[in-house]
Amino acid sequence: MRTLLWLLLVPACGLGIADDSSGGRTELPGTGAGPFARLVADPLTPADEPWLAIDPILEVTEPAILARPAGGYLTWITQESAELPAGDTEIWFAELPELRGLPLAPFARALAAELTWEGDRVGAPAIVALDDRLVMFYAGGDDIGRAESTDGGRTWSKRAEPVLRNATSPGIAFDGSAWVLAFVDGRGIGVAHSTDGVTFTPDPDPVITARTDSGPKVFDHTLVTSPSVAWLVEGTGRGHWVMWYAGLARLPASGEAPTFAIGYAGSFDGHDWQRISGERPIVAAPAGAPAVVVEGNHAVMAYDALNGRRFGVGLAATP
Amino acid sequence: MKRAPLALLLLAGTAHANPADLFGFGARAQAMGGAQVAGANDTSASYYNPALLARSSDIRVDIGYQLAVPVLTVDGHDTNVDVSRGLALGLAVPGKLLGAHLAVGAGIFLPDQHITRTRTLSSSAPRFALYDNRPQRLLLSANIAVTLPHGISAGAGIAYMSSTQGTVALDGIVGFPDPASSRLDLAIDVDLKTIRYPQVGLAWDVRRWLTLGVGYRGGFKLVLDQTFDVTGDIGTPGIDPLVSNGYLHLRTRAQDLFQPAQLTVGASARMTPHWTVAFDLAWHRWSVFENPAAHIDFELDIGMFNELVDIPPQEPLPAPHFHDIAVPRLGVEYTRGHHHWRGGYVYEPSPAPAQRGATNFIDNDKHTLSLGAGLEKLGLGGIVLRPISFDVAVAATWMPARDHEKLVAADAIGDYRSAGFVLAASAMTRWRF
Repeated sequence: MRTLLWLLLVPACGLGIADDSSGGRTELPGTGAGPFARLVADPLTPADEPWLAIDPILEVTEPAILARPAGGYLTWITQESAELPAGDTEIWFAELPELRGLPLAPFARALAAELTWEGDRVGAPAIVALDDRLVMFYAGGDDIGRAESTDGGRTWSKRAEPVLRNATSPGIAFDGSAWVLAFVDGRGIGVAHSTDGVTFTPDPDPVITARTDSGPKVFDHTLVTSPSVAWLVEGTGRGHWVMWYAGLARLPASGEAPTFAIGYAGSFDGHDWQRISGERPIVAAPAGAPAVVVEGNHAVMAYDALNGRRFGVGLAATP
Repeated sequence: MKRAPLALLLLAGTAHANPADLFGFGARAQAMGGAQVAGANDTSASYYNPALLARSSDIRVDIGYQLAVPVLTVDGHDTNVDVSRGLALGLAVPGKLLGAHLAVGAGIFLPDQHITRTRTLSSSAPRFALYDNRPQRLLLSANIAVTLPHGISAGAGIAYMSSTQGTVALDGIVGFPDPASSRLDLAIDVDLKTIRYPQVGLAWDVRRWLTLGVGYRGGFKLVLDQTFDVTGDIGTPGIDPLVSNGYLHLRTRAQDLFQPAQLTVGASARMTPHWTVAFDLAWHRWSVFENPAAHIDFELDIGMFNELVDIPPQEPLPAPHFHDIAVPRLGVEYTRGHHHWRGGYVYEPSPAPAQRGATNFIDNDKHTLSLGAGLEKLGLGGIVLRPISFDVAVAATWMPARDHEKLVAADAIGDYRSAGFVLAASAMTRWRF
């Protein structure tokens, strides 16, 4: 009887099973709209957080990122080359085994300007993974081209002609039957549609434009650029298109670098796009040229940011 | 001066009511699906219907332990909602006053993790709204019941909760440009204020085998009210300040906890010497539930620096659009000698609509099946002459999947599917003197 009384009175004294921290906030859904936090420098990791790629002399910008089948990430960057005249760019590739790790091998050239229409530069890669290959859309000259890779993104074979003319800074997504290609022209961010991934039909009007009527405190008051798009299928089985883009509140003063911030938009049909509510970005300046990979309820973003006097590519992630 | 009464951060308090609402109070009641407004025969009447306390002629002490383990998922991922566990204690003491038989009783649920928990989340942050803070709560009620003519008894009581009001004040000089030169006196004033809400009940023995009951439990809401004040000069100590008598005033008010008013009618029928059936139908007034997001009043006057501060405009809080619900409860008890076997079923529809807008107060319909057993032992220990009861119960709540599809494609949370399972158990001893 005494034993029974002890068993009953022990919990009365607050001596129950070991205490817990407050739960209920893990694995909550999200659509890649953040909150993103730039990776914080950690002396215990080999990475140079938040940087994915920087160079003391050359500009490193406009990344692309995909989930790596073996874990980690496949990354591409747009990089100046010491062998080329200033301003000419190429697309370089590296595999990142983990978010806070070093690349398996140093960044290596994956795509260079070779075709006449590409002029002296290729860059701004946007890549979709299909079952048997990767498909890249990239900026070259004043147009957008397409290339394919069957070796995981190391080497690429290009189409001879661009898939979209007078457009740049592509973003690409594929829902299994339809392609949406976002691009930048002189009016803002537009989208083009395709069923074969080769022949694209642009919508007549841009879908995201600078909010010039909303006052200079709006992060995309002056300019929108660098769209990145994705097709997300959520827990209910319904899918929709999402877009990350860079916005500029004001033009930089002479000699200053532009300070972009990153915004977010979504669309059910790929034609009608809505910005996330509010006038604030999802990633504050300075951050531009977003590329995002969404895996379940988590997302990783590669983005442009100033590293001293040069642009580098940084990484941010949701909790 | 900048003044901005704004929902700056849109922080939302969560969770509602108390653990007994969710998981029952006492092993017998839990085993019978909580259908106890006419059927409680122990100190759980303090929670279900205080009028039934008057039925006992013995001093009663019930003590036990309750545990509930939720596995609540969003898109198939467990959100790790906290386990609820703690001591359940009941007391009933009968007596006579002016010839009338009466009893006083008390019921306590004492969690062994959190006496109370206050958590505010951003307005759009997904959370299982009825399972977040709700199970992490001390429950305390005191009641009195009296027997009236014609087989009627009546009871009433008060339940207690606490709300938090606090002020943090800093006064002095804020160092600028060197913050390390700040000299600030700190004062903290926090009150845990008592909130009382009523509960009343009636019971009527229509026949020897049939009892009808009705109970009402008042609704309430707890408000978390916090103020943060900084007053003083800005500058370097010893020289004229850049800003004199600057101040920052920040006040947050959040609905930390909400319990809907509940009206329950029920019947308990002893169909045969062995079988007892109880049925309750409860109405829960969720339609007055307000968005628990925090309102933040923000005032700032820092003189020449005011223009450097960008305060976002106030955004209206979206209405949660909860609705009233009716909850049927069915319980059966089979008695053979000193042994009891019990079962129950509860269907609780969700008061929350599918979350298609800016809020994410997740909830699902709930089906609960429960089982239990009891044993009465005589003459244990030689001191307690009345039978002592040992009761156990287990209840499984299934929350079928529910889709929440957003109306806006640019929603930061997006579509999701919520589902869940809650396993609750309790063990209790009931002593009569």
